[in-house]
Amino acid sequence: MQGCRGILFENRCSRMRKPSVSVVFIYALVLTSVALLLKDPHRLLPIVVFNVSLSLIAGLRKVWWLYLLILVASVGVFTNAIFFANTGPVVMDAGFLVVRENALKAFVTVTLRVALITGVGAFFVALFEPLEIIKGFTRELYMPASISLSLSYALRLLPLLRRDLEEIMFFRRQRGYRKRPLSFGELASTLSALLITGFERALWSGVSLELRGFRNYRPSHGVSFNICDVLIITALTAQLIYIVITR
Amino acid sequence: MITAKIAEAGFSEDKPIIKNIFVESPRASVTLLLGESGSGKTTFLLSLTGVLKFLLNGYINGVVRIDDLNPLEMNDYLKLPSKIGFIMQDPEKQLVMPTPFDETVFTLQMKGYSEEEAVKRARELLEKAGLSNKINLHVENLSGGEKRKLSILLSIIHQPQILILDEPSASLDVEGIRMVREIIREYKEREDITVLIAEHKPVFYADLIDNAFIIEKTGSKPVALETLYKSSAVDVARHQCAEESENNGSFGDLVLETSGLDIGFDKPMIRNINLTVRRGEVLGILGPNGSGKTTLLKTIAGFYRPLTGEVRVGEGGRVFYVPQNPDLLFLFKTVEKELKETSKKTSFPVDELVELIPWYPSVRGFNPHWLSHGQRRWLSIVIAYAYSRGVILLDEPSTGLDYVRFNHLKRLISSLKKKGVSFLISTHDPRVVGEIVDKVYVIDSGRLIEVDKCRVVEEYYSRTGVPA
Repeated sequence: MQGCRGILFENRCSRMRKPSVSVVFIYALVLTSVALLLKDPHRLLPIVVFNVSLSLIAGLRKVWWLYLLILVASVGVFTNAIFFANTGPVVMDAGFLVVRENALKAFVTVTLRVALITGVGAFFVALFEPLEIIKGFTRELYMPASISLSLSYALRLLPLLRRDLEEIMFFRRQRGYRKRPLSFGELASTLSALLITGFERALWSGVSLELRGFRNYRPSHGVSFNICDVLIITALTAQLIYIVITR
Repeated sequence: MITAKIAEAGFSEDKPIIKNIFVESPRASVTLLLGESGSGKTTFLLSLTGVLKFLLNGYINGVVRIDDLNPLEMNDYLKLPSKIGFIMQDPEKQLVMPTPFDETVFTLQMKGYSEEEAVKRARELLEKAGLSNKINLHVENLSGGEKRKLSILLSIIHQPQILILDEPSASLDVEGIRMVREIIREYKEREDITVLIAEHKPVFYADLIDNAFIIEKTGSKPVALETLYKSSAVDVARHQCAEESENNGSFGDLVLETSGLDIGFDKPMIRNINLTVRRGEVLGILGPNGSGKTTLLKTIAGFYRPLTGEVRVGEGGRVFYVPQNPDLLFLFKTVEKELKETSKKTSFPVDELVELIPWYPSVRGFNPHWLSHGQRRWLSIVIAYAYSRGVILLDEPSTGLDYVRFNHLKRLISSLKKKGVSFLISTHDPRVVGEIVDKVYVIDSGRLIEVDKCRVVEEYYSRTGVPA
């Protein structure tokens, strides 16, 4: 178990070694900075292809919707480029729409940047469960225990909130009102029921934690590297070298 | 041992919730705390453990000792979790992590275990508790009984010398109550322990207690066990079953019928349900936590779709579901507005609704969410009556109600029955089975079976281990 990334989802963990949350986080952070700094589409393209492929290999089923969002976003990026950067020689003339070189370049660059940021983000999301990320941040990046607890508690609460909301909508319908609250008054009454129930739940959870000794809780810290971490650091170094030599 | 001499305590200085409390629980004893809903039992427990002062920013004027610790001093307050185990009323609110495994490891780490030790021990403990195949499931996928089992396991994970239980039998099925009784019994056999139980239904622990105190608005007083056992105001004796119902078994037309009904989600929880409810009849649905009682009521109400079969409601009738937590049912800012809007929607005269609420004048301007637990329950049933006038589906209506308020509930149901309203009640409570319902169904191995209600009440007590 020690080589595995800690205590969570251990069944899955025992089958597959995962890199450290902190290493993947730093990897994603550095490449996000690269996406923002790099302007040449031809230099961005290989990095985008590599990272998008990596994320799809790591978890296609978990992250496909992120790429769907890119497709939707690219329409906006294209419209933006047509309005604000449509200068230079004409590349395409469709009568009602004239696309010039700078608009095309801006569209490709911004889309590649978004794709790279999405790619590394998707890689991070594909590798870890939310709770693993929280635990990893606490253990490896020294995030305060109170913050990590709040985030973990949010994961515990979300299904309960969803359940309460579904029930409220049902009770609204049962009482002859439209199921979804739309007016200000309806929203206020729905929120007040949700908040009162949520507040009471949170209050007692706090009491429970206090009586179990949360004030004495000292999360363990430290990173133990494994072969996956080495591979990720190598991949990051290789991409940085590529960016430097193609300058 | 536990000693508490509290002159006043509350959340803000000018509004004390408890006054003149003196409670003493000697070492090697089990002490019972009684008191009607809202008398301040839970506030007392929060004061006793220092939580009211240090977490909830309340105030406590008095002296408290738990063994050699003074929980009202910060240093001792921090040491308290290693000394006490606290079992709360509602396991839902006690669990803070998404999975049982994380919850257990987290609790062990709070008790000072290293992560490696905590991981190892958590696996062992969950295996012992029969939860080894559910360690990585989201807590919401556990049954109510499993959540209760987990919360109890976590409360006593460190073998505390002091065990405090706040209404442990609320919403518990037979197995759950037996489990709590076993724990108290095991603790009682040890010489170095103290157990304090706050409970509305002392009948489940009457044979295990050594002394008792009653907490009232004006203060606390010790109650001699002899007096307690003879009291008719406290739920301390086994409930007898009322053999004859008020209607002598004759009820009106058919108002609800299910035929060949299968309910559940991916796979059926209960199969082939053939129920009939007649006007003025009260049916009880019993079964272990997680057996499908709530799902059945919600399916009949239309919240879930049946897997197969159908639900037929009598002509002109309607079913109305009242959840365990009535807060979610209220839509308006004041009790008055709730009733007026209900009247508008249902064409039911508002005066008749007001007549059903004896305490209406004192709360008409209150937000329904701020009413007492018993009053919220009452208001929700009155709203349900206006909407349905046919069949009201009540989900665990007696949870958290003391004996006095239980009798209020019984009176309300009885008066609505006389008006021709029928009820389908899911419950664990032998009081409800013995005194309110006319006919009882039990969920057993995925089937709904009609059983003799007096036999159910008798078996309920004997299976929990409560002596005759």
